[in-house]
Amino acid sequence: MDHWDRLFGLEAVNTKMDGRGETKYKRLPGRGPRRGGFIAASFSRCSLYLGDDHVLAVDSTGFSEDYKRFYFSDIQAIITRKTRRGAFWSIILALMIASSSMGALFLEGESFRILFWILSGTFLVFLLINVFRGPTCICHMTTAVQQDQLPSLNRLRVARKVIEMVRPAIERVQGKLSPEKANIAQSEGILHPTRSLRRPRARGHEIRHDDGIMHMVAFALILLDGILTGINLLHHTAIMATVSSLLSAGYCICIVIALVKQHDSDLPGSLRRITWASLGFVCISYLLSYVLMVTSLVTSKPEKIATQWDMYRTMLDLSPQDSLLVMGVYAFVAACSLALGTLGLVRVTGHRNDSANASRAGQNLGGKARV
Amino acid sequence: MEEISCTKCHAPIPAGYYNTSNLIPCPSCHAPVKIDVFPAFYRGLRQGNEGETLIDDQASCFYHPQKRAVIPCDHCGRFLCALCDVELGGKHLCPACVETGKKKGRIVNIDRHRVLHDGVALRLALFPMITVWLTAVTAPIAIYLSIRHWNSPMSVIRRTKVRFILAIVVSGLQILAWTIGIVYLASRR
Repeated sequence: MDHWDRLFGLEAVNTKMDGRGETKYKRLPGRGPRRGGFIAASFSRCSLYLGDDHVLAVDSTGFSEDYKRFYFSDIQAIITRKTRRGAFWSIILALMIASSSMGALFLEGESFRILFWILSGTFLVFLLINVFRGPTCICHMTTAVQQDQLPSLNRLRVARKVIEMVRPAIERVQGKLSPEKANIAQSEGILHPTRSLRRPRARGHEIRHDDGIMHMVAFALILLDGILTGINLLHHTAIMATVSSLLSAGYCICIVIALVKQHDSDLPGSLRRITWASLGFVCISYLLSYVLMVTSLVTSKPEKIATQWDMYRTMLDLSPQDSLLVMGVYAFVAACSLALGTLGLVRVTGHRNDSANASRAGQNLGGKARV
Repeated sequence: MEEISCTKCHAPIPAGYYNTSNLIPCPSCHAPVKIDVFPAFYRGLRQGNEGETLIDDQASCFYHPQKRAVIPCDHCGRFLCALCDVELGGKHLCPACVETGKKKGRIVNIDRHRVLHDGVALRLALFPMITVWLTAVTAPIAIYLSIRHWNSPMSVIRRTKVRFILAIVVSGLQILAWTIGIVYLASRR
């Protein structure tokens, strides 16, 4: 044990070298990945620990750990925001269950049916776990100099539990919020409930105007594809199937561009959600197409399929009248396309009308002012 | 006093929305939020100490001879003024000792990153088992890492040496299996 160990070893300053002077950490509930976007972007798992005088946030990859300490005396606020991530995953899982159950019910091969039943059972387990864990949230801890997300608190129930565990420790150091402060704070909000707020702004960027042209094109293509798929459902032709494929490729690109354009824009939340839902629909429809392709390749004679073109021809020849599975997929795609396309077009038209009215009103006011 | 903003739309949230018992919609984006505010929010940033000017025969700071010493460094014993005094986990240290402690990784309270040598060794022992043949190379490395870093600082969170032991046992078994295999093949010829 060298002088550093003697110095930092036992009492107050923590060191791990002799294993005796370390801070006693108590594990707090919750564990979650640090996300970059909707899907986890890294392999690091985050968890929280309660120390003697701080909360320790640990980001662990298994090979290394990164630490962030929030001292009780510095914590100013904990902000919890409920999200729809859990509900979204429930919908996705329910759709997966529905599509795999459809495969299990309508496919002819016994082995395929068993496979699809296993798949739907697995999705059902995930769905139940997701529902049981409760609504999702995002939690931030604020100090005077930073605001940091706590990825381990990704469920509302866990976040509440952890806040109630941390609160006494913070209040032990900072004291309780005086009733006067609390009353002043409350009355400020009550006295000025409708005070004007700044326009919402994204991190460091101003909100810009978007007329929603790209959204309109995307939703128009989706609607057109829905109509074509509906016609295909009743009377299947290879040409219409080809046009439908081209349309779906077109609106897929348009949706991606629309999603990029709607970032930091003034487009209404409902329109943004419909665009995201359209992306989800595109993913599901591609997944269903893949299932159809695999089943058609298995059921048709593989020796007939020599090139990519043959494979595509086989797909085009799939008629809804031939099998219940194909009919189900066509019906699902047609219904979703029509619903999303119509909703999106109505909403984007509404947004454009609102923008036009607002600018017209502005011009009129300007004109009157000049007069 | 800074204002608290919605974590979704970044619009400021009025004080009336703080410390509510339930989630309430953000006045701007209507996202359900709950804001738990603590007294530090109303205190704002603490001011740092400047250090008092030296008068007559008072002891001076080692780093600032014009400033009055208020405390000795708990590590090196140098006299420190209020500006140089770094309080860390109840100990008073000078900036130089903090820097040295940080470099050597001895002050856990300012450690921001740790390599988990035990985790690396265990994974090195386990993962290559998928390919089987790779274990001939990785098993000795895993044993070397386990022994080399047996006393290295581990996670700040309490961890036992069980991963090191497991890595040594698994790698040892792999080496044993390779030895038996080679001996068996050699004896057959």
